[in-house]
Amino acid sequence: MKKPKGSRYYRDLAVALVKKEIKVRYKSNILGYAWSILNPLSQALIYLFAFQYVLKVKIDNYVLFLVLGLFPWQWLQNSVIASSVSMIANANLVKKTIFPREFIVFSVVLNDMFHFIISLPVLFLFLFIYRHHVVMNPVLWLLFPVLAIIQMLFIAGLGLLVSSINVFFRDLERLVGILINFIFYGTPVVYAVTMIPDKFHFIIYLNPMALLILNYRNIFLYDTISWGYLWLSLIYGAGVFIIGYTVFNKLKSRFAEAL
Amino acid sequence: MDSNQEKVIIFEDVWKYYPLYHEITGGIKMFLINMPKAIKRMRGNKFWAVNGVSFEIYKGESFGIMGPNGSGKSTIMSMIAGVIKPSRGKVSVFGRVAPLLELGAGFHPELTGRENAMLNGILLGLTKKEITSKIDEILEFAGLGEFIDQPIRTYSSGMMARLGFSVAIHIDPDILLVDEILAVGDESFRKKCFAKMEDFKRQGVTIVLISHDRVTMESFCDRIIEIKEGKEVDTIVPNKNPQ
Ligand SMILES: Nc1ncnc2c1ncn2[C@@H]1O[C@H](COP(=O)(O)OP(=O)(O)OP(=O)(O)O)[C@@H](O)[C@H]1O
Ligand SMILES: [Mg+2]
Repeated sequence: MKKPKGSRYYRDLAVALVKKEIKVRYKSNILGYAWSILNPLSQALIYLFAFQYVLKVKIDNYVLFLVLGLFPWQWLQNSVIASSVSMIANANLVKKTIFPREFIVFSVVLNDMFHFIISLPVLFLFLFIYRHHVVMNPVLWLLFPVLAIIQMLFIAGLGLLVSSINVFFRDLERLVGILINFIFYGTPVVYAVTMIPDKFHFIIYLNPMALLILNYRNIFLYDTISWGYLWLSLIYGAGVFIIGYTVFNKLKSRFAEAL
Repeated sequence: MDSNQEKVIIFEDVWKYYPLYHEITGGIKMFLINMPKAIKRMRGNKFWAVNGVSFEIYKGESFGIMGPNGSGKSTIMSMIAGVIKPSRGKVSVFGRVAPLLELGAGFHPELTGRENAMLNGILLGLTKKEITSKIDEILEFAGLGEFIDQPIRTYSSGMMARLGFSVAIHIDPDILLVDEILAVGDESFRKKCFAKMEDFKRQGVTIVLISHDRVTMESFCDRIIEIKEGKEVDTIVPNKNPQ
């Protein structure tokens, strides 16, 4: 079958699907931006109240600390949940045309990545308010896109996995919702890693999201980086991506008939 | 048909079964509870929709598929389009395919007609630039007036078919697949479509048509196969303008 193979075509396909994703999910571009920022900020407000004022947790720069956990978390949560239903939501397109289906998942992940990146000005604002400067060390700055790309790989892998399995097991999406909640509290988003009891400390090594968030904080809050966490998260990210893509490729030829 | 002509679609002893997906699409819970039974049932309970079909379609030919409801026509068409794969045998297709498969043309209900036409063009293999240069013509042919900027979910099935057909014919296909979607268009639009398809025929575009309307089929197609229960039972060569 003659298919356009040029990279320009794949770029156009990705852009068109991301645009579609934005329109369908937020109904409008401008509000989409507002929602993607308001959501984690309102959550930050809740946790700030609950943990700092009620539970009296002692963490310096807690607002900044929260934002640095919640923005990346938001990306993971939105993308994985949206991916799980993405084939069903796009059943019409999948049943009638033969474009590469993985682009549906990529468009979901890229859309949320885009929102993550455009939330950076808000992060800088907080940096300015709480630390009176916006990161001094340029080497650390360069590591931010590296972390974002690792996170993208990891999320795309999860997305490919849940999107393809959910075509056949339709209640996976519920399970995904529950699991995400578990993992949220298993990830040092609202608490510091030092607060985890020693015997449970190992869980952060099982959780690429924890490693990534710790490093985002290292860069923006503590002016350092953990290379160990970075390499480990890269291994997880690449591994999950490969597993997700393999499963997706095994199942995708049956999507059209099972949807 | 002259056998020296170029073959563009080849079915070689093609079989297709559908597993009984509802056993698993019922969910993980149901599947786990009934696991041993469910697996056994899925193994044994395949539904064979196409049972050993072979044919060759030549470049520029207009090929019809007829048969009762559920006989496997759309399944064959989906295999030509490449959206589903045969379980056994081989399907070969050469050229750019514009698929118009039953019920809606691959549109997203929340997007407007214009947005869907753009997206559909890209999904069918055009670059942004190519579809942008054609969009006016597409919308013009579809003739949906101001509805073109309304979400597709507000369209009637005829309006959706108009837009789908219009996109499909503007992507410069080598092969056009039309599965009954013209049945929902009104008289004037059907006329316009058949005129366009006659044009295509002259240009050497291969057309595969499914319809329950025998008169239309016999007047339009060069060759028609009849399918029953997934098997080819008859080939009809309508005799027109004998030379
Ligand atoms: N996705 C599917 N999963 C399971 N069974 C299916 C699926 N699609 C079709 N079938 C079954 O395969 C058989 C052939 O279906 P198909 O849609 O090809 O028929 P058709 O000839 O196009 O009928 P119609 O004239 O009504 O359009 C039918 O019995 C149908 O129930
Ligand atoms: Mg049919």
